[in-house]
Formats: sequence, C-alpha cells, structure tokens
Amino acid sequence: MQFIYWISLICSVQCVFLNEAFTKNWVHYNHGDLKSWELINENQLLAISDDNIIKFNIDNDLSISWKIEVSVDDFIIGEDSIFTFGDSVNVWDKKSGELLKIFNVKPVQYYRAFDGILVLDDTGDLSFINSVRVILTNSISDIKISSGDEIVYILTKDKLLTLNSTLEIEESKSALNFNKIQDFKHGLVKVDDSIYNVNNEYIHKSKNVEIINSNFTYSFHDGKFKVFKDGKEVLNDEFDHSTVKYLDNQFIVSSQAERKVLNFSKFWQSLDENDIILETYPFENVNTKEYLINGKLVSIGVYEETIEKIEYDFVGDKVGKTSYELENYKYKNLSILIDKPQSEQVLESMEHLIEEINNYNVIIRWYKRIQRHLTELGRFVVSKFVKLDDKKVEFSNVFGLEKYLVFLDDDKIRTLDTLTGETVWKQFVEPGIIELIDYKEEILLIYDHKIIKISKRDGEIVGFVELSNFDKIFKIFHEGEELVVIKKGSQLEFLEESVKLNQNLVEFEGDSIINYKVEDNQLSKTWEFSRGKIIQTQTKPFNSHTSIVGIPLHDKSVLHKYLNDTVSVITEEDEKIKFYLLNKEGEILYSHIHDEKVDVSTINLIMDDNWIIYSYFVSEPYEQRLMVIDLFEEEGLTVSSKSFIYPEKITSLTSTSTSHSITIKSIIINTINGNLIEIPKFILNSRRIDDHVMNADDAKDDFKMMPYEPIIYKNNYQVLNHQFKLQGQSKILLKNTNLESTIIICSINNDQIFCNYLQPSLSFDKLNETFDKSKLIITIVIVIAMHLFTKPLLTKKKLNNNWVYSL
Amino acid sequence: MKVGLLINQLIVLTSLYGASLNGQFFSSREINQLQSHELFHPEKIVNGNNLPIRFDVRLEGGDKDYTALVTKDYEFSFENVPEGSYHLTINTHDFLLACDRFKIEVNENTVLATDYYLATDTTGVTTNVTETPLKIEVIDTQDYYESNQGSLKDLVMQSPLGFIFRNTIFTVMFVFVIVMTAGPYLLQLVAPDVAKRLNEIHREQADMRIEDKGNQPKIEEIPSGQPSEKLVRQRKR
Repeated sequence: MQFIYWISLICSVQCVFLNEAFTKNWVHYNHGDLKSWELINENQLLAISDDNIIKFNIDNDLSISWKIEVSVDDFIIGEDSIFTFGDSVNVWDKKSGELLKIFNVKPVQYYRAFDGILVLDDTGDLSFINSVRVILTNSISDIKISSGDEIVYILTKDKLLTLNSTLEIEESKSALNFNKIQDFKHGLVKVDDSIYNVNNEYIHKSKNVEIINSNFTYSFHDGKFKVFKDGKEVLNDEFDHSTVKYLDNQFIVSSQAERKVLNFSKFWQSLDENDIILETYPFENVNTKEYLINGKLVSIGVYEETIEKIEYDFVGDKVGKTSYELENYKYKNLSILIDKPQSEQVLESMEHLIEEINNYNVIIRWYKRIQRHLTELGRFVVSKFVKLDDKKVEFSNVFGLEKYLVFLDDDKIRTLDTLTGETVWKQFVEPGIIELIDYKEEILLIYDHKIIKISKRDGEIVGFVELSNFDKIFKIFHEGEELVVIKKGSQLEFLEESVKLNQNLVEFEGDSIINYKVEDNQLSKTWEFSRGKIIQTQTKPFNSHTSIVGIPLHDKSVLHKYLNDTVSVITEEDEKIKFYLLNKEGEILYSHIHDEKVDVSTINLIMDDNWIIYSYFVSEPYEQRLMVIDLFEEEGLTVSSKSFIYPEKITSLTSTSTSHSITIKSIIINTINGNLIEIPKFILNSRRIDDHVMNADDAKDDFKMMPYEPIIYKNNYQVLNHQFKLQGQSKILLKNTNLESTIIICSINNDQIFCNYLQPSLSFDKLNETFDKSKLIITIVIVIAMHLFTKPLLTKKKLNNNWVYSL
Repeated sequence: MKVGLLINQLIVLTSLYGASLNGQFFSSREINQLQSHELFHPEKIVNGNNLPIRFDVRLEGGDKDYTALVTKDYEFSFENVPEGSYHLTINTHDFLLACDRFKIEVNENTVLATDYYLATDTTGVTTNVTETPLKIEVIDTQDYYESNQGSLKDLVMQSPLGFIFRNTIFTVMFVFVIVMTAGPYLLQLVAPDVAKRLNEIHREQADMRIEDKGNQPKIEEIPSGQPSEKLVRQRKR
C-alpha cells in the first residue's frame, strides 16, 4: 500500500515538468537543389547545390553532418580531404568540413591522382595539389589523364608525360591522335573502338569496346558480351539485357525486370567461366549511381525531394531500400504564422454537445455523452500504439504553444508545425499569389483576380472568390470580428460579412500618405502628406494593446503616455533623412532631421504603444544607430528621444506582443550575420538619465531605469538562435500564445527556417528549463521521509497518552 | 630591358588586381581547446565540429562587400582588394575577440589596419599588414547560458562535504556508507514486513551460531597462577 503511495507521489511530481514536453527550438537548413553528389561511404553522402556543400548522414534517418555556405562548381573526394573547384581550388577536411587550404588558381581540368589531384588552370599551369601545390609543367591547353596507383600518364596534344608517386615527371613525344581519343585508362587508349597502348601500338578492335585494366577489355554489342585479355578473346557470352556496367571486379547487368551482378575476381586469374559468381536481384528502376562498399552494391538516387538508397548485400543475399525526405524548399517571400486549428475531434465534440442539448432528454443525453467519452478514450489509447489519422486525435495544445508556419514554397503552400518542425500538409497552387491572409478557419490565397480559400487543417481548397479591379486587400478587426476588406477605388467591400464601416484609413500611395474618412464603406480623402521621397511609414499595429496608460513616478505622480493615433513617416529630402510624426488630422506633431550620411536601404521603422523605434546605418562614422522616440502627454504632446549604437548591422526590426500586454515589450532585431536578438524595451528607453548622475528617485521613475549609455552591447543571453548559426536577412514572424509570458517566434528565408519561443519577462506562468527540479524532488522526498519517520512516533505518543488516561 | 618590362607589367597587374589582406586569429591558449560551452553535443549541431566556419569575416566600404572563409588554422584572406578605405568586421558565433572591427587602408604599396571602438573618436594601434597577417586575439568563448545561481549542485559542492562529491571514489564510498547505515531504518519505514522477516532471519542465524558454539569442544579455563593438568604432566615427563 505504501509502495503505491510512493509511486503515485513520484508520478504527480513528474507531471510538473510540463516544459519538457516541448521542443524549444529547431532549425531546418535549406540546401537547395542538389546538382552533384557522391557517396563517401555506406552512410555518408557529399552533395553540392548552388550555394552549399553538404555532407549528409544517411543511416536510419537523413541528417546534415556539416554544411558550408560556399558556391562551387564541382568536387572530388580524396582519401581524407575533399577538393572543390570554383573560382579557386579549396581543400576541406572530409570528417569535419573544416577548410584546410585555399589555392587561388582557376581550374580548367582536374583529375584525382595518387593522394591528391592534378589541376590544369587557366594560365596553362599543370599542378599537383594535396596539402601543398606543386607546379609540374606549364603552357598546356588540354590534357587527358590515365591514373594508376604508381604511374600517372598525362597526354597533351603532342607529348606524353609520365608522373610517378614522388612527383618526378618524364617527358616523351606522343604519336597518338589526341583529338580522336575516346578513353584513356590504365595506360591504354581507345580510338574509334580500337585499343592502343601509350606507344601507339595497336592491340585489338571490337564494337563498343571498354577498358577494364591494363590487361583486360570488354565489349557489349547486340546482346553479345565479350572479354579480352591482351587483345585475345577469353570469354564470349550472351545477355538479353539492356545495360552492362563495370565496377571494381563486378559487371552489373541491368534490365527492366532484374539486376545481375557478376563477380569476376577469380576469373581474372583462372580465365575459367565457372569462376564467375552470379547474383540476381529484382531491379528497382531508378536513376542511380552505383558503389561497391563492404561487400554491398549500394545504389543511390537523388531527386528533388527524396534520396533513394538501395543496398544489395551479396553476403546476406538481401536487398534493402530506404527513402529519405530532403528538407528542400524554395521560399517565395510569403509566409504567415497561424494558430493551430482545432482538431476534428474537438469540433465533433462541440457538434455532439449542441445536438445533445437541443434534441434529447436527460437520460439519453447522459448515455450519448458516456458513449462519446468512451469512444474518445478508446481512440486515444489506440493512438498510443497505432498511428491514427491526426485530424481525428486531439493532442494537447492547451497553452497554444503549437502554431503552424504557412509559406509559399515554389508552386505549393507548405505548412510546418512550429513545435516539431515537421511538414503538416502541402497543397499545390497556381502561380501568381500576392498575399497570404489568415482568416478564421481558412487561409486566403490572394491573386490579382481571385481569392482561393484553403483549409488550415489539411490545406484542402474549400472556396473560391472571383475578383475584379481591386486596389488592396487587408484584414481588420471590427467589434471583435475578423474582416477581410477589399478596397476598390473609393469604396470598401467585405469578403463575407455585410458591415457598415465608419473610421479613418491611412494609405501609402506613390510618394504620398493619404488619409481617407470611411463613411458607410465610402472613402473620402481628408488629407495628404507629401514631402520628398517617402522611405518608410508606419502606424500602430491593429492588435496593439496598452496595459498601463501611464508610468508612476517617484513623487507618486503619473507620467501619462500619449496614446492617440499617429502616423510615423521617414522621408529623404535634399539628401537628408527626416522623421515626421503626424496626427490623424495630418498635422506634424514632431519632426527630426538626421544630418548624418545614412544608408537609406538600411532603414527599418516600428511603432507600438507610445513609442517609435527606427534603425539606420551611418557610413561616417561607420555605425548602426537605433533611434528611440517615446511620446507622453503633459499638457499636450511631449517627445522624449535618444539615439543608441548597436555593434552589428541590423537588417530588420519587429516588436513583441502578448495576449494581454502585461509582459514587457521586447524588440527583436535580425543582424547581418543572421542572428536574432531580443532587446528589452526598457533598455531602449529614451528617458535613460544622461544629464546628471542617476539617483534613487530616478531609479523609481521607470521600470529598470538606468543611466544613458550610447552603445547597446550585444548580450549573448538574448541571442535567440544561440545553438544555431543562421545566415542572411530573414522575415521574422511572431504569434502570441495562451500563456501571457510566451511568444512563438519563427524566422524564414531561403537559407533556413528557425523557430523558438521567447519570454521577455521570463517564465512567470510556466516552469522554465532553469527551474531546479532536483531541489523540488529532494524537498518532497524529505517531507515524505519526515512524515514516515514521525508517524510511528506520533502513534507511540498517542498510545502513551492513552496509558496515562487509563491510569 | 626585358626585366624592366616585366616589373612594369607586375606593377600594372598589382594596381589592377589590388592587394591582399591576410588575417590570423590567435590565443594564449590553444584555440581548438577553447571549445564553446554551447556545444554540449557538437555532433548534433550542424557544423558543431567546425568552429572556423562559424566565423563571419566581412570587408565593407568599397564598390562591393567581401567575405572570407576561415581555415582550420584560423586564418583568412582577402585577395585582389582594390585601393581604398574599408571596414573589417568579424563576428564569431563561438569566441570572444579582443577587437572585432578594424579600419583598413589599402594603398599602392601598403595595407594598414587600425583597430577602433564604437562611439569614441580615439582609434587604436595601426599595424602594417602588407607582408604579415593581421593578428586578432581570441580571449575567451562565448557563453550563451546564464549559470543557475544557487542550484542544489552548487549548494552541495560548496558545502564542507563538497570535497567528497568532487571525487568519484569518495562519492561511491560515501553513498555506500550512507546506504548501509540508513538502509535498515528506511526498510523498517518503507516495508516493515520485509524488515521484520529480515530481522527474523538475522535472529535465526544468530541462534544457529550460538548453537554451533555449544557443539564446539570446550576450552578449559585455566585459573591464573595455576598451570593446567596437561602442562604439569608434560613437565613431569
């Protein structure tokens, strides 16, 4: 009994560690289409795409061992190194991917030789490269190589060069017709189906002849397979098969139905037909490369989205086929982060509940509910052992930590689960999408002439709306309802609902900002702002909430925030950058001129609550600036501003928002190095003290008030992608959860997709990973031990007391 | 005459293709041993075993921006940099650098590097890096995790018993002693029936030992000062 008591207590303790149920962060590196690849060994594949060199592990799963962001044209796998060819010849460590050496030569032709490579460069130098570069000869325009273990023959147009393993080179005249040479291997030359040696001595001729080694050749023509030794026929057989390939002592003969592997190892010595070992396998008709590794014939096929691996095990006489899914996508700059839709199970439950309430009496209602609960329980138990349809099984997403990242991947909409990083669904779509909108239970694909509605749950197309001549489509919240607004000239229409809208609408058109007054869905222009070239404009986001309207000061007074609707505008006038703050009447409330040399392409502007932040890069001095403007109301508008310097170039800015806006705000920056960094808003505070030494009263005047320091130092604890190196400018997507403390963040570009969750005010409503679980367990154990220890003492004491009373 | 022509051509080529800027990271410790704290399981992280490639070295300021790869020996190189003023910025995911930004001046014959700091007008030391690589010191690793202050582990390690837990053998001995000492008491609390049965077994074994003692030949007690009969007999002989 006590044992059960213990176990139940331990189980209840385990239930506390909820955060372990979530994967905090993940990254999918996109490698692009693989243009060339080779197997390194049985379980490792090296491939190159347009911008990457990638080493894959292809064992039980497919994973990336290392990945280098560099563009190369081709590669050769050496003993311990990998040689890549592009604008230079680079040598990489095969195991770790570390760059060993860069040789600044532009390769024209390259071949593997001994423990390195032979490279003919664009200057005509022929050199041998492994860890160093040795120039062998120069003034060469074209070569043909016959590589062997001890001697390498190099044919130029008029010379034969013989290279030994100590890199000594011998030169002799060549009488071979260089331009007619079809193949050059093991010191034998194939010219017009005839075989010659390097001294131009004729050996033999046969249709479709191929060189095996210095002694043997073979031919396969019209189903007749012949093997020759020193020009004499030693084997004549017939195969009614389509192709014959020679691979390291084995002939692989493939037809559509089967694949035969003929082992000739013993035949080379005995020349006895009976010594040929024949294995036959069913043939998987895939376009593959073949390798002989550890007694296995490994066929590898690399396709757009998969890698197929087939292993023919000669010893175990088995065939194994494995298919790996490649994480390859083509991001087309459209992405949204949406809440995970409710499962069909939840919807079914709700439907049943409504049906029960409306139709049945109490007893039948009770019976129906029991029946439904038992069905759900059964389904849940079965789902633990058998994979069921995900749509039917509800997995816990109580806190809303699971979101869907929806993005346009070339010709399809792809949805990833932010918790696991796995693809939930894919839907092929017509090209020409200009926007994605998250709308109720659907995702709207906006084209220039129509809207296609697809289900969030499975990507199925559920609707279609024809459109004509619209200017803009956007989503607003009106009286707690989501509305999709279609602007057509001076009129607003709505996608589904019939609503009469009366409010202001600010539009950025051409080089002007235009404000419209909307009355019964009719737009009338009220004011226009036009100054120089408008670089960026911003209003407060529609989902912006303000939890406190003022900041309590040390003297118990309140500094009220200026929360009226405003428009921020950054313009370029007379080669100067200017900032304007407009009110809803179009009047300039505040302006600021930047006298520095600003790189206009680096400006990013955000606003929320009572603040505006914009970033820009200044070329003299060479600095990244962050301008912070806080708006307060003290007998009218009071503007407080400060400029900060950030050590890295900023490529994009965004700010966090939570369900109730109680959690402090943070600014998320994406730096040129790909890092995602969270800077709390209290650091970017324009009221930081700069005109006197900060005192105790100043400290009470704002949350975490501190003296002004122009530089915001990079804090490693605020790097959201600290485990993974990201690269390039990415789109940052944020979505709040049901937990006030927690926000889901994803960043996406063509190099990688990264997701994490962030907690600007730390985890106040959920245990975080730094929570000391061992302390909790030990405390519980001590309490239980004390309980068990004192229990008999208590019983004893009670008994003694009873004795006293009895007497 | 031919030599002069060759030199002229070389000068023309140099001005056309520009200079090269080489750099090298160094540390008072072996850089490979400055493994990042972040990489608890480097094999599970892409490029976790390839720290040089996690550097980002940029040369900006000319017509185009240049980036360089860092080799296994923590060296980098920019080739054919045209004359002009540049800014060299270095970002490393795993290490802390003594200085990560330099002003680079590429002239006809010289390449000069000057370290500088943000928000100050003062510049650091100018080094001629025409022939020698620019040396950049690695001072430590980047630490991305805040230490869990006041954890139970810290508490135990800093206690007077901490020396035991720093040594594996001591820890094993300590745990063994604690288990042997506290085991019977805990058994009584957790499983009294088993403890009772164990006690009975002990008692039975003790009784058996006493019974075995009873069957052993009796040792004759010799009063002090009097020799035994056997000894007396032996002496008489």
